Amino acid sequence: MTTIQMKNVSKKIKGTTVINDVSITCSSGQVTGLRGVNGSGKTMLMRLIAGLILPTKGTIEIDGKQLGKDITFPDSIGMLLENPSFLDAYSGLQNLKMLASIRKEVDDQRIKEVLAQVGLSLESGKKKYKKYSLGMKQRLGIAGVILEYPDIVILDEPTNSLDTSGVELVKKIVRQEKERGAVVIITCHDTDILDELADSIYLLENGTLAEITEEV
Amino acid sequence: MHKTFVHLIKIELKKAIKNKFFVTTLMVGSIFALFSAWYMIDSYAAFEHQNKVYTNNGNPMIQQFSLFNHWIGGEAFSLGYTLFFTLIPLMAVLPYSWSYFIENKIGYVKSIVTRSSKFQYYLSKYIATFVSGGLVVLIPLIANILIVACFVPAITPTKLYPLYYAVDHGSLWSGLFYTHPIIYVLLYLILDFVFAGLFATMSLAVSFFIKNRIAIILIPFFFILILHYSRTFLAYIYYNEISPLHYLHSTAIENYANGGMVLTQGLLFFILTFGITMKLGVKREVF
Repeated sequence: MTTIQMKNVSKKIKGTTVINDVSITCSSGQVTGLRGVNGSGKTMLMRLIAGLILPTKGTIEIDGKQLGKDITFPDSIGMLLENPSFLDAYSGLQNLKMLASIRKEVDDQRIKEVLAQVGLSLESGKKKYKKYSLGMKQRLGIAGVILEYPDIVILDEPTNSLDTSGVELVKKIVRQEKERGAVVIITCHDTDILDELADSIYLLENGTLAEITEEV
Repeated sequence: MHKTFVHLIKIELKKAIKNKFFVTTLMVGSIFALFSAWYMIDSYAAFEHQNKVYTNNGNPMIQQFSLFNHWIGGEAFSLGYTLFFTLIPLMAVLPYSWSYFIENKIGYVKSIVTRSSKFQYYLSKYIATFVSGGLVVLIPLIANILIVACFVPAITPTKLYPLYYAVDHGSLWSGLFYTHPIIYVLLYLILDFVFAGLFATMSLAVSFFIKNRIAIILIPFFFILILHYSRTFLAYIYYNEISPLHYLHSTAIENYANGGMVLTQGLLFFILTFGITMKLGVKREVF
C-alpha cells in the first residue's frame, strides 16, 4: 500500500511560481487525473512527485517518508514525462534491457512480455530506437514505465502520437496497473479518456488547484 | 545501493567503449601511431644498413638507437607523433564526453537517477568518461610500442648520449630511464592514460554550463592549446614544461618535465572536473 501526500506544495523557478500551495493525496489502486491547459503545472507537479525537483515550500511524503529529506526519489517509480527518452544508438529491446539491468529486478522474459503488452513485436524491439515512429516510441516509453512493476506510475500525456488501438492499449494498461495496486497519476488532453480512467481528477490553473476538484 | 552502482558502472563502461565514436577515434589514433612506427622503423633500418655497410657492425654509437627513443612517446620527428600528441585533448573527448549532454537533453537522465541515485549516476558517468578518454589514447600508444619493439631493440639507454634521448638530469623519472627504461615507459603510459582521462572529464564538466555539443567537445582542446602556447610567455623565465602536449611525451620537446608541475596540473584538473560534476550534478534539479 503506497500513499503519496502533498502538503501545501509550492515551487518557484527563477522567481516564477509554477506550483502554488497544492495539496493532493494519492493512494494505491487509485488513478489520479490531472487536468489543465498547457503550462498549468501538470508536468511540474509530476516532476515534484518523482523527486526530480524539490518543493520550495511544503512537503511531499511517500509512505510517510519525506522527499528530499528522508528519501531522494520514491523507491519504486515508473514515469513517462513529456516525451519518451531512450538512446538512439540502441534498439528498443536493448534500451529496456539497459534500464532493467540497473536494479536487476526483472529478467529478459519480463522485457519481452512488456514489449508484447504495449503492442510491439520482438522484431520491432530489435530495431534501432532512432528508426522508431512516434507511436512506437510512445509505446516503448510506456513499456519502460511498467517494466519493473513500480508502486508509482506516472503517465504524462500517454496517448500522444498513438492511434486508436494505441489509445485503447493505454486504457487497458492503466486499468491493469490500478488492479495491480499501483498509484497511477495521469494527465491527458482528452478529457473523455481522463473521465473514463480516473478515480479523481484535479484541475490545475496557473499552478494552483482550481476550486473544481472532481470526484468521478 | 552498492549493487546498483556496480550495475550502473558496467552499463556506463559498456556504453562508453562499445560505441562508434570510440571505435572511430581509436582507429584515427592508431593510424597516427602506425605512421610514427613506420617512420621510425624505416629510420632504424637505414641506420642498420649504414652500420653493416660502413662499420661492419662496429658502430660504437649503437645505443643511440633504441626502442625507448623510437616509440611514439620517445621520438619527436614523425608526422604521426605530431598529430597524435597535438590532438590528444581532442581524441580523448570524442568517444564519450558528450554523453551526459545528450542524456540530459533528451531526458534520459530521469530514467536513470530514479532507478539509482544522482550520486551514483554522476560518479559512474565520470568514471566511464575518464576510462574512455584514457583508453582511446593508451591503446594506440601500446600498439605503437609493441610494433616498434618488433624491429628496434630495447637497448637500455646510456647516460653518454643524453642529447639523443632528451632525458636529462632533473627531468621527470630520468633516473629510471637510464636504469629501468621499461618501467619508465610504463609510468608514462599511465601518465598519458590519466591525463587523457582528465581531458575527457573536462568536457563532461563543461557540459554543465554550455548547451552546444560542438563547443563541449572543443573547449578542452582550446583550453589545452592556450596552456600550450602560454609557455612562450615564460621563455627564459621558467625552464620547466607547463604544456601537457609536451610533458605527456616521455622525452623532452622543449623544456624538461617537472614532477611538481605535472602533479599540480593533474590535481587541479581532477579537482575541478570531479568537483563540478559531482557537486553540480547532485545539487541540480532534473528537468
